[in-house]
Amino acid sequence: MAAGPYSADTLWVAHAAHLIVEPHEDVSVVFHKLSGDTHILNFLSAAIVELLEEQPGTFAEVTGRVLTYLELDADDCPPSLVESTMLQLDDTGLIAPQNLAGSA
Amino acid sequence: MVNFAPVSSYSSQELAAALKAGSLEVALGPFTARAKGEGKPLRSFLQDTYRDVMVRLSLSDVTDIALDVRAPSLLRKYIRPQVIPDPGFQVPAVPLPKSMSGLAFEMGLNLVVALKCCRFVTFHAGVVANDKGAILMSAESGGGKSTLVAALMEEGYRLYSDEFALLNMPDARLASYPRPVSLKNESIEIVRDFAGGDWVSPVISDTPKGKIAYRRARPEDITEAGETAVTKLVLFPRFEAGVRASARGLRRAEAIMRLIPSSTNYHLLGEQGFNALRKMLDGAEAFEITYGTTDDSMKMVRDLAAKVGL
Repeated sequence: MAAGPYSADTLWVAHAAHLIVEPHEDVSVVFHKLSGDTHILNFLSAAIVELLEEQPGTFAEVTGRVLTYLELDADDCPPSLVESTMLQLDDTGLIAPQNLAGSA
Repeated sequence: MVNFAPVSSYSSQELAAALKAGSLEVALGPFTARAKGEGKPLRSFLQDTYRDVMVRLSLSDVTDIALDVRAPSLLRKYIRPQVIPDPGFQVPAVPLPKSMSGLAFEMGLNLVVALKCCRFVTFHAGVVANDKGAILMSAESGGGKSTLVAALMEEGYRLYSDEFALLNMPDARLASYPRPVSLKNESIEIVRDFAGGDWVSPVISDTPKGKIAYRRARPEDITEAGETAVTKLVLFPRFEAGVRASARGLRRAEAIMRLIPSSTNYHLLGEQGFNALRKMLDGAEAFEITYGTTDDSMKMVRDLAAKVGL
């Protein structure tokens, strides 16, 4: 599930200005300023948010960047896992399609 | 300007008249409350449970809280009289027999702080403190929070609050709100044993939560209510009959995520609330403690308090 329509070409983005991220050993606590919600993210979710703060990306691009960043291979972290995690992050409002730029 | 004086310094007639007129101003830590109500049960409750709390009989200023303990209807004012707390906004309050006016008063004060106070991040938690810092205890109902608070008072800690931890947002220090400690059922006798009968109010029976009594705040808890404290120890106590006592250290992230649901206004306060919570935990250690007896819990809390320098 995602909060809105998307495709494989959708560029996803996270807005650093809307988030306060407190990294811990294996999780991150993230405060979303727009919703007032606080989330606890595992290392994969936190990495996706961090990478999308730096640069927008499609599912495929983010998958590639996540594998490099976390030094994992596709067996450890298949594209389907990254995609489903991104859709969950979209539900929480922590990331959003770039054409809805003001909402994440 | 009329000065504040302890409840015990006023006559029954003076208190009854001020309550009837709605001009009794009660000073409770960072808040002042205007109390209104009729009848002996409420007046007696205040004389007993709030005997050392500072009040004045005529309003001299705007108060934070305006609480009317009144009948829910004209019928219930006279026939099988009942009362509800009316804090000036609609709340889901179950009418109580008039004899339980004190309970309605306590419920009303709780509702106002829980639902309308935005000067502090409020957590449903007990707090005690000494000169070195505070212990914050967040527990579900029945977790033993109030018994622990009362037991720690006997160990030289000042009562900050039995019901709400008030976190001041700019400096992330806890404010003192020394209301009476609410004791339920078995905990009443436990606390009466170690605090002494004179410090525990008469029991109110057959309430929606069973038997209830209150451990009074001491004069020193009340006179030092203007002080604030840094949080050193955060506890999530859980009482389980017969269980062997244990403590589990919590990582900071887990402590943050467990405290948020216990706050009544965190979501209203936004970034300021989050930052205050983080800052509060900067110098604190957090533990989940499970115990089967008050003695066990006190031994554990003593050890943990010593570990964090309290």
